[in-house]
Amino acid sequence: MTRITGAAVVRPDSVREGVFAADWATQAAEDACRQGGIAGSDLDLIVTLSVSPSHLAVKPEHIGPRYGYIVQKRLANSKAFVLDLMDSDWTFALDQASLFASFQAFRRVLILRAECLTGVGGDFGRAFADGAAALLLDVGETPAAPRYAFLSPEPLLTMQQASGAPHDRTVMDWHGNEPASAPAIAAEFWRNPASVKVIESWAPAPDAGSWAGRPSGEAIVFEIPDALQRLRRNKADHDMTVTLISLDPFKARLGRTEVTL
Amino acid sequence: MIQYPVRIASLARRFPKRSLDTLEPPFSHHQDIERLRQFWGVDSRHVIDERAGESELSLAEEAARQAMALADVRPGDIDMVLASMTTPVVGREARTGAPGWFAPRVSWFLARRLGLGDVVTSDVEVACASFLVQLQIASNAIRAGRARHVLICATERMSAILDYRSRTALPFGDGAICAVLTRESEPGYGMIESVYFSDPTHFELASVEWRDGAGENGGGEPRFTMAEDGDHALADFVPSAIPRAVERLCEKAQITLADVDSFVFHQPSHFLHESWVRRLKIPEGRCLCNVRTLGSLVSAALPMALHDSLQAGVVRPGNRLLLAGIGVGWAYGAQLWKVNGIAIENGLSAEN
Repeated sequence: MTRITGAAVVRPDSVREGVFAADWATQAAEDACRQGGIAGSDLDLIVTLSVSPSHLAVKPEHIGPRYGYIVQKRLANSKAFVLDLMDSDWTFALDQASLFASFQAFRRVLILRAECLTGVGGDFGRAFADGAAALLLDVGETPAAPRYAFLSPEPLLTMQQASGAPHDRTVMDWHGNEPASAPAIAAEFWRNPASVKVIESWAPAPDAGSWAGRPSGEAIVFEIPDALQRLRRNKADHDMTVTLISLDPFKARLGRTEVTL
Repeated sequence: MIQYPVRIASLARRFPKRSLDTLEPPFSHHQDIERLRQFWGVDSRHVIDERAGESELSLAEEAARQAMALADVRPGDIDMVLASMTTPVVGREARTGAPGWFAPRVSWFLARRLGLGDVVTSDVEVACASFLVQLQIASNAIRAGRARHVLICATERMSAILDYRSRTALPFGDGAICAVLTRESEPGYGMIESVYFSDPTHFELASVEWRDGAGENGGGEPRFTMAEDGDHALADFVPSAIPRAVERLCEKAQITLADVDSFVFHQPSHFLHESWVRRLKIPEGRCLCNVRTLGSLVSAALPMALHDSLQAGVVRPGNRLLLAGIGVGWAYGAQLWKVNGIAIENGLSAEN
């Protein structure tokens, strides 16, 4: 099972000129590595997630390549492989990073999520939190298989290029017309979790009669790393197994996986 | 962990019908057009024609259906879809005014078009090295028993983000290609070994950026951006990257190049491809370059070259096949496979 050896979040107070998602990602990476007792230069694999269409790195207009290379450079790392999974969620990223590392005999893996949504409008664009989070993994031989469940054939959240908007290059909108079956799907998905569980606030909970309201914009970046950070600080000496449940809103897909702390 | 061997079961591609010739507009205005044609090695490339109903998604869908048919796999059999597309905006239709999508991306739209139902989808962004990573992720999932059939897609519409006034527009072409990976039933086949590297030194050399005023209404649009002398800058470091990956792969697999039957490399330009072949002293005819008529198709370039190599009989069933690629950022890697028959259209790759 994959062990989380570091979990860090960076929540900027504001977006300053000349500061990009890569800067927050670097801070989160350094903090997570420090927690894990390793140098950033020791990382074997850096997996990044981000949907931000600009303000990622180097200059405001930059869209791609994505920001993982900048983090690699700032960590003075010359051995890691960097890959980006775009709009995927923590569960999918944890699974793919763990499998990749397992088959490549990598041990030290960093997963980063960083967003800077300046210039993203729409009813959800302004609600989406800016910042970065990092999970440092020590990958064992047998990563636990995740489970997935689909809540809707349509995306719950979309980001589209803006047409005609004067200032925003893209718009992000929530289409969370979740089906009435979402709590039932979640209930089935929730069966027999480890005693400690972390669930993103926007994923439907099985004990809710219905799926209430719109999610917090903090969910996608911060909630899982934040919770893991708190659990790591407060746990006793023995290992703890944690069930994580995340939502990929762009594919309306719940993901469940287990990690140890 | 039980590990299941992996097979590249099929490969299918679709090109737009329209082509642009290097010596014609929109390229012919460059004063050194002949030098550029020689350096990149591109005589013509396909470009998507929206008026003809083409798009990166329509080509991807056709290629995917063909790849599934060739692999004898039904839509309901697919467990995972992995896609790559370097252009940031997916599914835009200027004709109807429909804006494109940043998220979800190609894999989700392709799964929906194919009617795959509830299937895990993900886009992978490693630019021209994406196909290697997609093969690795698919292979990992099948080996670990997470999936039995994975659909991989690389679709490119560089024509949507190129500034045709710039000489940097010259190398690129449009097209889509899909592969189906399945569990291998015969022992001894599959991915043998792989290596990956990333080097951020030249991160700013080539990128996709917002360019204000580039849109029809004066708005901003994504544009491929590279220094006008970018071809020279590439020649400084790209020629050594693939040989480094290949040499490390051989060390890890405990083989020499003489043990490899066929090679398929990324296709950035004729000059760079030849530099790799020469440095590695690959015998003639064992490593094809196809940029002359296709241009460089970014993340689709490597699988397109694999398809051409299968058609030409350079890659045959039972071959030890070495794949290597490099993408902006920069990431590069290599894989060694023992390949069984890979079905392509017209049945040109016979079963073992």
